[in-house]
Amino acid sequence: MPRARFQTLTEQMFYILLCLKEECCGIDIMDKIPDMTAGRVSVGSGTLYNLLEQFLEEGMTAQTRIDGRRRSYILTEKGRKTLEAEYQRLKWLVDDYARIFR
Amino acid sequence: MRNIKYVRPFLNFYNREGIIRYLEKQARKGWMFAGFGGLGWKFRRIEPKEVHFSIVYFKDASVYDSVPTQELIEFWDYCAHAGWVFVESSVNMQIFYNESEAPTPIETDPVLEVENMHKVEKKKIVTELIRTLCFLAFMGICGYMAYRRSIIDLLTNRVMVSLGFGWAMAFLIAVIRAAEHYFWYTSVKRRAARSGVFPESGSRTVISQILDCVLAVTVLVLFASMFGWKGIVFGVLLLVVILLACIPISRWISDQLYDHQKTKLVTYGIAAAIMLVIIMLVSVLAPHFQVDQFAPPGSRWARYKQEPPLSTADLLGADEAELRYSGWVEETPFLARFEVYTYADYPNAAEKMDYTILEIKIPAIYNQCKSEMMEQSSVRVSETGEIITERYFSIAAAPWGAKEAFQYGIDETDCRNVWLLCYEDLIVEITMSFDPDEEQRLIIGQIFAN
Repeated sequence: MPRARFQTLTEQMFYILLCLKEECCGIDIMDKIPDMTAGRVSVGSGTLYNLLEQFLEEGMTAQTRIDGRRRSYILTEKGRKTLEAEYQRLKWLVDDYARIFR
Repeated sequence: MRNIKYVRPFLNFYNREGIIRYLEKQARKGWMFAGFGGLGWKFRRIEPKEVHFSIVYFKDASVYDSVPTQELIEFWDYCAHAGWVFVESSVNMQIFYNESEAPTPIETDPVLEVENMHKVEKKKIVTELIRTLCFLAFMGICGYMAYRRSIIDLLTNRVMVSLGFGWAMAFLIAVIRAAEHYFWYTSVKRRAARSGVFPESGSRTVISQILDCVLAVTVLVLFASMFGWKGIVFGVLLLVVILLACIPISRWISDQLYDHQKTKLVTYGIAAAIMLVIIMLVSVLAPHFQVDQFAPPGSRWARYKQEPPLSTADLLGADEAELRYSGWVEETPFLARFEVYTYADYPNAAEKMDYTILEIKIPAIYNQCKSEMMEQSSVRVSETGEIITERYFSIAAAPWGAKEAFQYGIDETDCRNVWLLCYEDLIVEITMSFDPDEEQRLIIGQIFAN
């Protein structure tokens, strides 16, 4: 059975949603993520644009403001829960690793 | 030294990696890609340098957008923020370049990239499938209606047979493209998810080019079968005129109508009008090409070289120099119909002979063709006021060297000089101004039975 969209998040999806805990302009996310991750993670402009559209369609984010051609977004309750679920999943992975290897 | 050049590289839509490598190589040689022009790909001279190119697919772009939409401009802004400069687009395909040493690619999620390409292509594939299926259904309905009227008229009509074959091929190619795309999508998505990299798609280029060649050959064969080999020139000229007319017309429409829906409607309307004009042209001109007419001297007889297989000279010993004949041929891979008129042109000559040869190339339709030819009947009123029906009735076939033979009339005592003779793969209907004797019937049988 195919996995539901966003049932698990890629690194890029995870950090985009994280950036939207507070209202943020879409374009600015491109600079925020490398700063947040010390350059470890970067998102392509095309990938960012498409993911923001998909998060909006899924109701995980909401558009807050339009300034000319710049649109701002914020996380919704659904988006927050999705992020929380992903955090829990990753935490289990980390805990299982720590239990076995430490 | 020139500063602009136009090139037509042999590159395909699917060969994205090939296009990128080609553009980057040109930049290293001092030529920067500047867009698609009427003469080809436009390049302007620059200082040779390393430039990165990227080709991405914007799924919401449409050929009916006369100006970039807000969404597309926003997408360009995102790319520009990362240093990617927009160069050119071809509907959904967007081409960017970046002069940074190691720019972040525009697409960093290969699975998402595959999904985007899939959405773009799915729209085109579904449209193509629906369009070819509609035309095939239309041809099917026309063909069925023609079949109900006369199977012989239908299967000797080169235009109908060719168009039916052409649209069937077009539909088959559309189905193959759809199937090929589906297999590509499922395979590439799986590989992208596993490897984290967008896989190269070299085989798609080859498959796409093979299908394009098959379609081009189908169109050429179509024109050849409809109009004959010299009619291909007419067909190619027609296509060139249409293409040359469509490009400025479509640009003019885009410039006048700054509205997606209006542009779409007007484009559909003009395309339908052009299709109607082509169909009318083909209907009017094709009969002049598809039927081979012949008459001596130097007459063309499609199968029997310079003269018909049977003439009054064979039966009456008339002087060949006084023999006159004419007729025409209609032929397809299913049936061939030859209609011949022969007579001797000397003073007081009364002997005339007309005949139709139906050559049946598919044995399965033999009986149906025979039934259709035998269906003819006519009604007349006798001197006593009785209504009489004339039709084909069975006669002895052996004198004619045939499998079956029929004569037109009421019975053997009241009949006309019209016969229907059935051979192995020929049905011959002969009308003579005289009643052939046994020897003449034998000659006819020897000619047609062989």
